[in-house]
Amino acid sequence: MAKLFVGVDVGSVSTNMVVIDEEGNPLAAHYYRNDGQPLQVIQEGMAVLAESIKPATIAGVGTTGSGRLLAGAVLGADLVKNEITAHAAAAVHFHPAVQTILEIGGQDSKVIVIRNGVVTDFAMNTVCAAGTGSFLDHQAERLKIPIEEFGELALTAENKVRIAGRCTVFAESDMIAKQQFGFSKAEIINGLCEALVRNYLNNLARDKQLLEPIVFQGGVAANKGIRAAFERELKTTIIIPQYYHVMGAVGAALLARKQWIRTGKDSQFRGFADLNIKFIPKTFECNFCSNRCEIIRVEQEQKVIAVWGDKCGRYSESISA
Amino acid sequence: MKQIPNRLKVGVPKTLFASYNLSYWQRFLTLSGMEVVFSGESTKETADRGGRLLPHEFCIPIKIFMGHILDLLDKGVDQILLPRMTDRNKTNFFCPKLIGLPEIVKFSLNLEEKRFFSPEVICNGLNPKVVRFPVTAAASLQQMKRVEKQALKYWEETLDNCRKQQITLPEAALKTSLETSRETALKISPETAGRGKLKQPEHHLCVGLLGYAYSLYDPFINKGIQRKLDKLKIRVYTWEMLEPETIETSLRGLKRPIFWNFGRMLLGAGLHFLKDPAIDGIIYVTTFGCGPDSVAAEILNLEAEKHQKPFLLINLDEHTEDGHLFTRLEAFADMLSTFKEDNAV
Repeated sequence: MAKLFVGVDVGSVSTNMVVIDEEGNPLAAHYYRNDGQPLQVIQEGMAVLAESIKPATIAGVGTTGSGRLLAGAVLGADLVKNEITAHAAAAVHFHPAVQTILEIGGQDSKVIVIRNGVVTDFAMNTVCAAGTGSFLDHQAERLKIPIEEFGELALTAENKVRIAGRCTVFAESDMIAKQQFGFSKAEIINGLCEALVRNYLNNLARDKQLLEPIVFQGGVAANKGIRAAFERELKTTIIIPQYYHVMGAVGAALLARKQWIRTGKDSQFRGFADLNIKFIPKTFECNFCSNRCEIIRVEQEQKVIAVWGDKCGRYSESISA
Repeated sequence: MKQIPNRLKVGVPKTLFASYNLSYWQRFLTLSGMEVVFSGESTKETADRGGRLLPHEFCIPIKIFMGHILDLLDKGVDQILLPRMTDRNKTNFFCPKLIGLPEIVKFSLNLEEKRFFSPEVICNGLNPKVVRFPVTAAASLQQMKRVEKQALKYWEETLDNCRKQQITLPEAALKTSLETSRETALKISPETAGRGKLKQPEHHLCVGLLGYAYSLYDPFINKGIQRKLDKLKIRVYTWEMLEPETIETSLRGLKRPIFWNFGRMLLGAGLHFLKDPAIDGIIYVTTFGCGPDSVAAEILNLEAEKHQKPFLLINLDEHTEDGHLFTRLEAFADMLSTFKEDNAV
């Protein structure tokens, strides 16, 4: 039977799932909005995934994204990896010559510098979510434009409008002011795209050398206005990979595959059938020391399958053993 | 043992200056005949209570410091140790907030000056030195002068332990205090001392970890960074494990001198780590809005680029979620591993 690898990326806004074959080619890729229910999305998504592939052995499962621990526990993942390593692995797989990765997701954005196929530097947004997918979502809603049409509309702008990009709150008040000056929606949206790109380059990529080829991935890469703004700022063409929206999941699957090749270990994957059993996440505050950590515990049929959140390892180390 | 009636109770906030010279101050005060009371560990409440007393833009270490002061007042101390950190050396300064600590406390809490125990202190690199002793009924000037020498000696022993055994400052402080007497033994949790429950994990990466003692050894501020690094099998090296001459030699290469006392040491240690082939990368831990770090960390970042050594700046603030921190550290560890050998999974 064919050996397949599953990658799951649970982000702040979306959950993405892919299946790759032994050579690393994607066979299925799905993108779902979380709507605040990542656990349910994982279960439903996996059911869809099971139907979309022919009977095969799942030889490895990798999870990534901010919800990677939860996903890893629920699925019985073989590998739980940070999203920077995952995104880099996917970009290098499809574009071996890549030297710069721009990634903008729902609530964070990163820049990854690659040289000779290896990560040499990276940066991630720190204190503020300005210039990420959620911010664009919010503004699209305010202007009553579906987010899918947002980028297209930006391309039709006739005049340039400058909008403050440092902070979401400032950008919003700037936008309102510019609307009142009579600029069109297209012009304002274009201004917003440029502000976001300026903010990204100034904050994240400030001290990085952005060499070509540059790959742009993450949900926001779908936005043509942002892509055009990047190309204008960087004065070069930007590559949008075919699987730009699920690159994190592809990376997780690729890394699970790499681990399998190296170790040859059987997968701990629970199997598609077992995923419908109820998983109950619970949280409590540990009172053992002054840190008062918020402990998250996932139970399946009264059995604790995963714990995290403790700084001291009191709970998490007793379970993983 | 002779019972001393009504010993003066002096509170020591276990942060900022005392995260460096905790054992020095403890010795000095105890030998002067005072009863030493330490503030508790930093918590959310410490930061919240302290923060409420200060203007919004103060950095998180100062907010936490104020919380420690409140904790000491709750514990009913007679006086609070608040050294006046001065600069008699023209090329060596403290951050303005450290210099102004007595004033910050005095005016935000409306405390009378008699509640302060404020010796005037200079600090040349690592060694504190009292240049003016406060007048107190608890001890005579002669006595204080004498015990200050002993405290300094004790402090030097602690530092010596750091270098000889390649351990962190809290680890060494704990060790030295246990070796001497139980009465003066410091209560330091293993979490603060840096090492967690993991016993001697097989470290396969070596990282130079830089940061001020009050951030690096306060698990509340740094979200347990040392433990996380332990989990990633990273062995940590810090500034206190280096000889002072090593730090000074590294600094000599700079075009312009850097004059913040503690920032200087971090930069000097960092510059040394860049040249040390045993160190795979550098992690610099700073707190949001730190002025000296905006210079020191930036210089190091640029130098790291020249040496092609991976450099990670961790900027901490008041967020309670630590997932992001682990994401960055793991990605950094992956990067170092691929550098070292192609085994990053």
